[in-house]
Amino acid sequence: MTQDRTRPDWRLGRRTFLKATGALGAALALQGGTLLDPFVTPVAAAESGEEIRRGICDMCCIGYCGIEALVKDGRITRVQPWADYPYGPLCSKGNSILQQVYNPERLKYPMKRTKPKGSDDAGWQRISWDEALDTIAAKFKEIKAKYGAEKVVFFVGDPKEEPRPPMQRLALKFGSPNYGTESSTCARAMQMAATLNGGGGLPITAATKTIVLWPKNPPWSMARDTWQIIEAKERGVKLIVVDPRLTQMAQMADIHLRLRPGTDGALALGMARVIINEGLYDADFVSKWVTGFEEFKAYVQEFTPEKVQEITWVPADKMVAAARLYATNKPVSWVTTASPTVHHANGVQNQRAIGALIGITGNVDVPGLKPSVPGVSVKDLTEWRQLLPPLQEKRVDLKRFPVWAELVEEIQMNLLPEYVANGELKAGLFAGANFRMWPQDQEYRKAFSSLEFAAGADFWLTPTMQLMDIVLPAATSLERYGPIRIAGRKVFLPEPVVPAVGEARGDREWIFDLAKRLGLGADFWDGNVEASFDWQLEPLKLKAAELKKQPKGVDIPAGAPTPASNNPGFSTPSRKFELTSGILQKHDVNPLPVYKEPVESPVSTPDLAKKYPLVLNTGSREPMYVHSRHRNNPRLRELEPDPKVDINPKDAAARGIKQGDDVILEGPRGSVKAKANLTELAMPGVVHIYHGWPQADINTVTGRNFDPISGFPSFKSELCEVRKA
Amino acid sequence: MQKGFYLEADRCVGCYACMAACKNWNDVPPKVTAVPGTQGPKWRRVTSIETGAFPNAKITKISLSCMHCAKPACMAVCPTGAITKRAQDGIVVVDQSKCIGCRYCFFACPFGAPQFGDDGTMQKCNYCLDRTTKGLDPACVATCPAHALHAGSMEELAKLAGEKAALKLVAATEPSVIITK
Repeated sequence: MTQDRTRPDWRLGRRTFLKATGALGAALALQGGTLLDPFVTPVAAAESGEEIRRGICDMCCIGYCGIEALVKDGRITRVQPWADYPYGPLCSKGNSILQQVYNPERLKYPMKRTKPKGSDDAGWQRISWDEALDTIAAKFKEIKAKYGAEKVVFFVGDPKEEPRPPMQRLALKFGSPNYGTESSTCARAMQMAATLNGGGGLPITAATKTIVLWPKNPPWSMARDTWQIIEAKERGVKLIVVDPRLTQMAQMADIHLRLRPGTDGALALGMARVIINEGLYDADFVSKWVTGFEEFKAYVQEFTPEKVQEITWVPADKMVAAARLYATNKPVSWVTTASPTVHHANGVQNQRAIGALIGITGNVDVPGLKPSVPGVSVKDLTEWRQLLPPLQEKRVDLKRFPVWAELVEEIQMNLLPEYVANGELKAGLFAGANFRMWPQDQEYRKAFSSLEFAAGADFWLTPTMQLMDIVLPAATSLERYGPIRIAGRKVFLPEPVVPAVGEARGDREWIFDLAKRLGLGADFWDGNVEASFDWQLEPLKLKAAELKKQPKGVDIPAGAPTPASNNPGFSTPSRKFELTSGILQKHDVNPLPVYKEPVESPVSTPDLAKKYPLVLNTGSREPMYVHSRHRNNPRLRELEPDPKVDINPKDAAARGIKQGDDVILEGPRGSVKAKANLTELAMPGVVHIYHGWPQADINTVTGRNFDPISGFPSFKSELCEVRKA
Repeated sequence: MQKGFYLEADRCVGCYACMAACKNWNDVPPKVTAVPGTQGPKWRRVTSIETGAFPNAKITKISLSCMHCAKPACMAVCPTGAITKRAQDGIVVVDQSKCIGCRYCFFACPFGAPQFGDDGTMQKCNYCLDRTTKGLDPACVATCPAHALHAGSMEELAKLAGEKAALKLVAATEPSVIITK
């Protein structure tokens, strides 16, 4: 039936929908084939019958933006940005959320493996939630009795915001400190650097005069952060972007520093030298609030503009100009992000060097750059501050990453193969895990398979879930309550917009249910999820029932406590901004933010660089994908059907490579095949490849070159060569 | 009163949110197949234009849909009268029940706006009339995180564009000129 699609009512009577194709489609998509079932979402009849319901999008890792779903007969027909929610609008992923919710590949029922691990086919068999949770509880109790509770690892991958707190609480109440997350390769190292220094990035406010994006490309990673930068730029705020890529944000910059990946530390130390030697630092702030200034000043002297240019490939005059702008056009808002600089075997120190600039210029704790509304928070569901210390000694990472173990309330997961091989972990519970997030990921795949017992929850039967003994169907954010969100003085408890598909359940719900079966009911409100929200909301004098009635948010009542203003000083041992870190000193690590070359680089391994002359940069995002997610979402896959290698046209020409050619990217440990994308986005000598593609899994190539402070891998600074396939 | 779009190309960040929002709102099916280059209809497209070479390269992202032309070339060549231009707002619409799938419109349009799905009939941007006639922005505009896309009457948009140009001039050269609104 054809319709005039341009009439406002063209949907009337429209018959839609192509049925799910089931297992075949699932196998193709998850194995990385390019054939996807082009299913469309059932669009219901009359628009007038669509009801607008409000929830939170979970298409990227955090689950932040407000989403309005048009619902008809219990199904979402379309979505649009929730215009008056504090976070938004929707990006390409958010606008494609229906093809996540109603994807025929969704895991709909709990299942158990009927064939031994290592079999090609797990022989998945549908079971009830009762059987699934009873089996998991029985196995965990057995492991606890036989080896100790700490032998069970609890893990949350992506999306993370809702499962994390209940999972961590479960781990700690069960008696295991071995709770970890995907932040083991994401934000934690950046946060560690901020903690060690005494300060990190600061928000953009009306007072900001210079923004330093070091490094961030919001349109491709968190589109909701794009506008505030453009808006600031257009009202005259100066913009410095440090990024090897020619992104759109970089092109808006007053100064764009295109550096060789992995050399951020040297660039920052060079800028520090300019600022100090030209007397542009904040002498008053430094004398009152900064430790180690003299040692730092002495150390940075070797980073002359000429030497910094040689190391970083950034023209010396640009670096000097950026340093002067940074030091003189204040306040400066340093916008940093999770992982680009810290995916490096010297990542924490490099990030500290960048952070040192805010210390010496006094751009930390500046009036006007503090959040305008004092933060308010609910009770922490995890209660790790009370529960973790008695278990600290049983952490598997305690001896291996002592700085991490002191600063981070979750374990560093990156030695999972070692933990499992040594028998330190014997069973696990995984919400959204993905072995492809780690370098040399085949070792992690093996580790998952080698556990005596493993259970997982996910939206899909992913390659990692295929390694489990039991899989549980998780509800997406539009199918469950929570988490509680506070924005300014408003608090939100997002409602389920539609019933969950199949028997999928919200993370908090199934984790509480499992806790009950582990005999921990009393610690988990006897499984009552709403009671746990009420407990969390106590400081705000609000109840979940009130919030549920008002999806547009409730004003936090006057009189609810706000956190006390900052104690004088910083959160470091000296209460000062530490250029010489007391914590690092205690652990026999150089306390200055020293620069080290990447483990593999044209400078540190010139012989290797002869064979692999290109710098390999991985782990950043494309706008339509988040890590390994969304390749099975037809609307998003259509935007980027194939894995690709971004290579500068000059480097491509030297290798006889043309646009769209199949190419082999080879490194010291392996190779992948992808399409060549000739683009000036990549600078000469550097190639970019995106992670998470099963058919071009770059983490079979990246190495296990870990930062001894954070345990982070070197995703942004290794070597490779690219040739025609 | 002619309605239309205004794209600030120097704000367009190439995030594809507009394309995804268009497909979501208008239920335009995607197509992902084993045949390279096969894609579903796209009522809005983001293209990337690269000029120059390192270190002087420039990458421009452009988001375009149907231009709703004053003199639509597609309409002029349509043999069945399936394409019309609405009197009240100048939006160019297609009645798919009259379309015979001859694709003359596709060849006539300088911008490649007419698209074809599996049923072979022409489909394209309809300015989200189901939104815009209710006073809402088109889906692409409503979701643009860079506020690079705007919708409205050509008079409104021309005024906005003029103000933007003036602001950019002020920022660039700090001229000795007083401007009032």
